[in-house]
Amino acid sequence: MDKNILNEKNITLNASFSSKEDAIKQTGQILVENGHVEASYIEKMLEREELTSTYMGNFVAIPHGTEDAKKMVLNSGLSIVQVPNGVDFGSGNIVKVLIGIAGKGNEHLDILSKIAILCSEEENINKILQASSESEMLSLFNEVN
Amino acid sequence: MNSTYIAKDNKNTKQHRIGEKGEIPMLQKTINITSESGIHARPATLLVNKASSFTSNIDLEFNGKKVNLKSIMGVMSLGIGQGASVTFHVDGDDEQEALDAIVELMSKEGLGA
Repeated sequence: MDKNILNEKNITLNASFSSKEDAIKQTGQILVENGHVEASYIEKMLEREELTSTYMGNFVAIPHGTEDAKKMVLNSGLSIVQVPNGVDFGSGNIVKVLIGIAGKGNEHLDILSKIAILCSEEENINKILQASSESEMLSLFNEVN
Repeated sequence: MNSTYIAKDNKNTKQHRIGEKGEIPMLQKTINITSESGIHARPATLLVNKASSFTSNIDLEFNGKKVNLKSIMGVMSLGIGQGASVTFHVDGDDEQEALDAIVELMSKEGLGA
């Protein structure tokens, strides 16, 4: 992953949340703080979650804004929030890592593809869940081409 | 003799039934992606949910790669954008219903035809 899209500042380890809404807000807040999106993008992430869950299986969710929130994206970016105790995403789905996505233009497809390739291997998910430093997490995502 | 034949059109979809004699035939259909944002997370989820409601094996092929249409990670890994040409391969007891449903979903969601 390009360092402009993902760097250590975009990663939060050992978080805990009492609701999926809180988890999504924090995932979005990282994107806001690092200049990837306008603050209003967070509301669009919550709206998108209501349309269909962004739970992808393997304890992973990929919250992101609705299509009409594209204009609130300043620069493509990712945020990664590790939640060791998990947060309930409904329908019996427990999420232990949230990957927030902001894609400028058509960059969302390339970003989604890389995330999907990484997260389709259970071994990689285990490494993501067990990463004990931001640099370790970053290196897992940087291995994806 | 002629081992490849084309099934007659059904519900305005042009499926091609291709198979060597003695092999189990499979349905396939190629669709051009017209959606500006391509097959991103939400349409991928819709496709996977639809595919998963059938028992047939359903593959999605793009750019020389073939993935299981019942796998969200598989579908998203292809990174299918506007202008792409993708092919669905459907094989199983409910293959016709499955292909019809997928083609209808692609059209209804404005993804491609």
